[in-house]
Amino acid sequence: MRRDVVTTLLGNELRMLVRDRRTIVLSVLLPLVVMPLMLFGSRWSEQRRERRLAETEMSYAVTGPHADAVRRVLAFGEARLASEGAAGRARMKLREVPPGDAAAMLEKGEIVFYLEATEAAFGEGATGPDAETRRPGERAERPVPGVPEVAIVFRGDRDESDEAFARARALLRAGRAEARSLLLVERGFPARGPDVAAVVTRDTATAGHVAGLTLGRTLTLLLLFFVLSGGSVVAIDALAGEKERGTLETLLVSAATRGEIVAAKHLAILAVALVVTVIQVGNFLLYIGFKLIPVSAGWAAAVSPPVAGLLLLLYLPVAALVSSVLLLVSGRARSYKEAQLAFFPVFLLGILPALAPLMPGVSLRSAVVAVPIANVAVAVKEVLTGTFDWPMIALAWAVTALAAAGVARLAERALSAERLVSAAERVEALGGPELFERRVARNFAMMWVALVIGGVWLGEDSDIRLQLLVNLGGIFLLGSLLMVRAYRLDPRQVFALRPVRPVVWLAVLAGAPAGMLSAVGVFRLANLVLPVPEKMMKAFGEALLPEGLPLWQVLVLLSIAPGIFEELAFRGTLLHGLRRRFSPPVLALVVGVVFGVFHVALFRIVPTAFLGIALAAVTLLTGSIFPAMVWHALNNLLGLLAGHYRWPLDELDLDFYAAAALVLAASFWVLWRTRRPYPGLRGTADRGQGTVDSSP
Amino acid sequence: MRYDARVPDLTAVWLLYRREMRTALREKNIVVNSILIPIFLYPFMLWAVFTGVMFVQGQTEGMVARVAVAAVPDAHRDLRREMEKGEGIRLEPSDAAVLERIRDGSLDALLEFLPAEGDAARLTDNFRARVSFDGSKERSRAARDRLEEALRRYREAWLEREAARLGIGAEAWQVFTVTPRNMASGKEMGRFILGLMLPLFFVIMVAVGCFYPAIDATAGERERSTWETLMTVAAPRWAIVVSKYLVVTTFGLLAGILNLTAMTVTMRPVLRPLLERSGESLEFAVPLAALPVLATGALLLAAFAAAGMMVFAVFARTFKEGQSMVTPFYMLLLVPVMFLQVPGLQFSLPLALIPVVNVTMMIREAISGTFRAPQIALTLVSSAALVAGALALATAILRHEDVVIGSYGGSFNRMVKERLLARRKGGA
Amino acid sequence: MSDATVTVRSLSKVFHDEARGDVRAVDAVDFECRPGEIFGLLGANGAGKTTTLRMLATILQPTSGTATVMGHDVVSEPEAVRRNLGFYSSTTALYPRLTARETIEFFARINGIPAADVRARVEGLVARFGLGDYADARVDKLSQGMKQKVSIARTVAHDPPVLIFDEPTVGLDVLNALEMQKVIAEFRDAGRTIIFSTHIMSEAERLCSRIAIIHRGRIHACDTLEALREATGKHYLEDIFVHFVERAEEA
Repeated sequence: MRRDVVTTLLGNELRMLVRDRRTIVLSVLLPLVVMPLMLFGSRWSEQRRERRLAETEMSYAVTGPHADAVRRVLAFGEARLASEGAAGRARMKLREVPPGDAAAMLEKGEIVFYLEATEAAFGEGATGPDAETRRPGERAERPVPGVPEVAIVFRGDRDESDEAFARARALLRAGRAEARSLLLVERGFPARGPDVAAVVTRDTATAGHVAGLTLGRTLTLLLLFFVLSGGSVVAIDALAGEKERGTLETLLVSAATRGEIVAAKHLAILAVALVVTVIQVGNFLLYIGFKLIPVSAGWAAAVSPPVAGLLLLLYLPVAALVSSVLLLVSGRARSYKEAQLAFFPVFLLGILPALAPLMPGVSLRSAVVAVPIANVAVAVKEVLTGTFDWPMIALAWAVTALAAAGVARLAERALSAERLVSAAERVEALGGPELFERRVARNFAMMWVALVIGGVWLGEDSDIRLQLLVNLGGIFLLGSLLMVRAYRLDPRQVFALRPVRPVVWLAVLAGAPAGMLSAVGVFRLANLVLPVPEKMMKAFGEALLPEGLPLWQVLVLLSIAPGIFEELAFRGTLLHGLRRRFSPPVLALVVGVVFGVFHVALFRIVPTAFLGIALAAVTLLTGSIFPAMVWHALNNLLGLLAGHYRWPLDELDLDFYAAAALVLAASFWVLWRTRRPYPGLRGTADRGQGTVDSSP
Repeated sequence: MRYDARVPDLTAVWLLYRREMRTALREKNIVVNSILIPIFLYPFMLWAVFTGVMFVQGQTEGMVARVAVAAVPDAHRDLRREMEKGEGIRLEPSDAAVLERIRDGSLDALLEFLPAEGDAARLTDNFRARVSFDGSKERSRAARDRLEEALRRYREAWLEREAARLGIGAEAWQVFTVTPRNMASGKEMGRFILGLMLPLFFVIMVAVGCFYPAIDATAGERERSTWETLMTVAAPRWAIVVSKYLVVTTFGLLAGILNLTAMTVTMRPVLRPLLERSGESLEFAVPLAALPVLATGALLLAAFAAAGMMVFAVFARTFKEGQSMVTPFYMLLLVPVMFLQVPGLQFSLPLALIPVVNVTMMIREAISGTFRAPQIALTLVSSAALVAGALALATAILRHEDVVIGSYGGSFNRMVKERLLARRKGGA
Repeated sequence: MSDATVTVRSLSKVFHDEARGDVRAVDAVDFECRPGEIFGLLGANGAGKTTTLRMLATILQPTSGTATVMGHDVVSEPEAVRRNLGFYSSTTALYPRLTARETIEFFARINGIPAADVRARVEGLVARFGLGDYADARVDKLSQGMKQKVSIARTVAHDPPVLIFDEPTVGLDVLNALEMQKVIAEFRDAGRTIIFSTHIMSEAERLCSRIAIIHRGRIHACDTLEALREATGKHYLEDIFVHFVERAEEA
């Protein structure tokens, strides 16, 4: 790579960019103006609300035979909360008004709540199901016979009433504690209630580190947002825009190498992204100065100059990676519009790794260090909270930097992809197998939507038989058959209905259990990165094993039926439709991942995708769907048995999983040796144009 | 044979409208932005956020707090047992390096027992518990919360025991029980929440829905050089413009309504885990009575957004140019929405005069079942006036032949400066 | 032949199309070009002219076969090839936001003219193409004829010995097209090797020293106009072209 060439190219890029006044206005100046307006807007209304809640005098009423006692308790509560210095809602002004028809007054909005103090009613009849409100994590108090019951009657669909309710409850609880304390003291108890087993807390962290936690959790996210939004404007123009204008070809016939062109464009995007980020950060500091954004005093301490320098260094590969990704997307697109369309999902996905520091207790000394961007995000959080794990920080930096370089290489290759450079006329297929291959991804996306919507409509409580009928019969089978019919396909080809050699069945019999155990192993590995809460697992295990169904029905519904119908859809229709788009290994991967995505639950994706990949590989090696069907059914059967007899498959020693993986490998070795490949796969001859058209 | 019968104007508009709709529906960008995103984006984001929150909550709950305990007094063995009984706390003996271990994260908190102070010290075996934690670590904060909660329970049990010893009956000790009674039904609560969220998304989606069709119908048409083809058809110019305007309005309306429907339908399944935890039974349904108001509001909003965007887009010659010309208007449209983020804002008469805000407030109130006739009337009148104003501006601009033909090279700004204002000056 | 500046040996290109499967766009093409001659590639739209020239310009990679420009192989030394090559086509556009002078300067530098010589070179080209008054105007403000001149100046900014003109007159009016032909003839007289593709018979008749008739990716005839007339017994190039195409279709 020649430095002077890159410099010339970069100079050219920047010069043209600076001359594009509209882009600058749109991507830099406009946000500078609109951001404060929006911040001001939300801050203004928030403050207004707080002021209103604090200043408006709100009326309430007390009714019932124990009204006086309640008033006394409220006074106790007021005193206690005041002595504890409870802030916030304490400022709310409450005024008691004489109760007329309290319920009617509440309804009309004349009072925000009323307290009704009565003898506890027996049984549950007093409070209807609609009338009970519990906040998360709170146990409702049971009415006790012989003890007065104070009902706080309010309307949760009115802001003031809801706020006042919270205040009233706090007052009542504090008042009760005070009343109890007085009861004890009256009988000669030496200590006040709160002084018994009193708790004092001591925060060993500095104010800077505490503020650093808040900052560290969101800083990467914010930064990524700026880099993405600033960089995308340039990036779209850099390759997709040039392609559309035809200047890319002019550039490609110059003596600059593709690597140099990509490097220069990468630097241009990086430069703009950094400039936008710096401007935005300055903008934010300005708002902080104007108190549009409230900050805690510790922030200045959290970001000392050396720390700021380290952060800058850490964010450099992140910005580089984002720029590479943007460039790659732009390079893959054929036109400006296409690039824009593709940027949206990139935006959503790009934000994802920056959420890593929001998860509690994720340390850099975990698998997260291998995930680009997420590792830097976690490193930044640790640095800001005062933990400097130098080797891991260096590793995180290197991993992200390597990813950036790798993606930049891909972008360079995108420039050589002929489909994109030459923009050869594409023939629109009007029907038949060609159209099928082009539409298969779109059709499966629609099936996925149908699956999700169906799940929502049916609800989780509906009969599992109905759910399975809809999913397997209505979506997988019907969808596949519709496609076969609509595109006039040969079912034997699509569903790969071909005989296999007998030895394959041996491999399947050995492979299915081994594959299942390996999947559990993989799941546990994935758990190291993203632990799944135990409660979720338990709830899921219960949902999967329906009680009260005869065993044969369970077997048919959850083992045999999925084995047949899911295979027809995924290893049949989907695999057939995509077979010429990807090379066989990628094809297996794609089919597997799509299969995983169809099992909607987030944490099931990894093991099901693993199974899907294995099944796709089996189909590709044997050229037939039958082994995959048997494998799938066996896999599910084993899962059911394991659940039924409570085999602790997910608590085995590592050796068991390793052994299973070995058996699995051996099965695949047998399949490989006796392979009868799936016909019509994408050959190795045209691998040079391995560009993927994944747009549905 | 000669065909010189004139095509009636309205038929021409209808024909043009259908042609525009058909091409628009075949354009990937429009389908994605005006139909798919309104349906899927916010439900998906809502789902993602709630799943994420639940996940993080589950994680925090599943975490075991590692707590070092120094010198538990013999009298309080129960406290130790109490803490170890639960799943959330694992006790370890304390050592000299305990504070460093909290710092490096291998320990979450330290619990120490100090003598009670003042009057409280007269109570036999009373103590003060000191919880040391690291406020810059989530785990450590969670450990502190758990310890405080365990100690609170211990204190209550202790006080209750003492009360019983001193002859205070259980009923007297209970004093009273508190029962929250929410008079708003699940349906009303559901509407309240819908009313808070939907109008904001609604405005955004109407704007997004208009955005691409507005550019495609003007700048896009020029880029594909089909604009000229269109100008040669035998329909009057105004019919062409009106049909385009109707198409853009249709997409804005469509996007808004699709978003509203999708959100209402997905709210319950998405929020289900949260609702199950809190035990609230909410029902998410927009009241039927609100539908006419919603439809009118959507129409006004879409009509305004479409007119505004087309006024800017008509000057653009390429798609990209169109985008940068319309974006400022689009952003300005969203600014008022930021003022409406918090609950409790009253829909007052002055508010009914602020564009966009008034329609948003009207929709919010309609969803939660409140209808204030004067406000609604004022909103309708002022919005309609706004739409009329925007259309008048569009007409004034399109009176210039070169803009219609597409040979005018300036922007909205230049047009206003050089033609509209100058002419008025000249006339006066 | 030792004096050939461009040699093409059984060059082939296979495209993979999702709908049609493999498409053989260029099929074992052979030819050579020498300095001072205009080598014409004559064919209908989609015959494979542009693909052949794009392979020579290293935009596309050949599926098989070899091609060299000034002795440099297009696959192994693409940068050296491009340094010796000027490529002009109706699809190679100019940057609208650069001025004419900046455009020429940029391409001169990027194609390896030493920084010290760039200024003189640019001024020479500005004078040569009569850009004088317009040299500092942005390209998007220029007339079509001016843009064409800037485009040609950009093509020869680095003084390449080999020039490729891929359908250069497409979309030009008569006067601009004639101007283009004139410029190409001048480059020939200056001793450069010129490869020129077109589907317009009169242009080929007037300009080309030798003509290759390409149809469906294959060259069916390659000789001087005179020799082609003799071989077919027909006078007009149009008839000669049809003759070869029909023969190719029959085969």
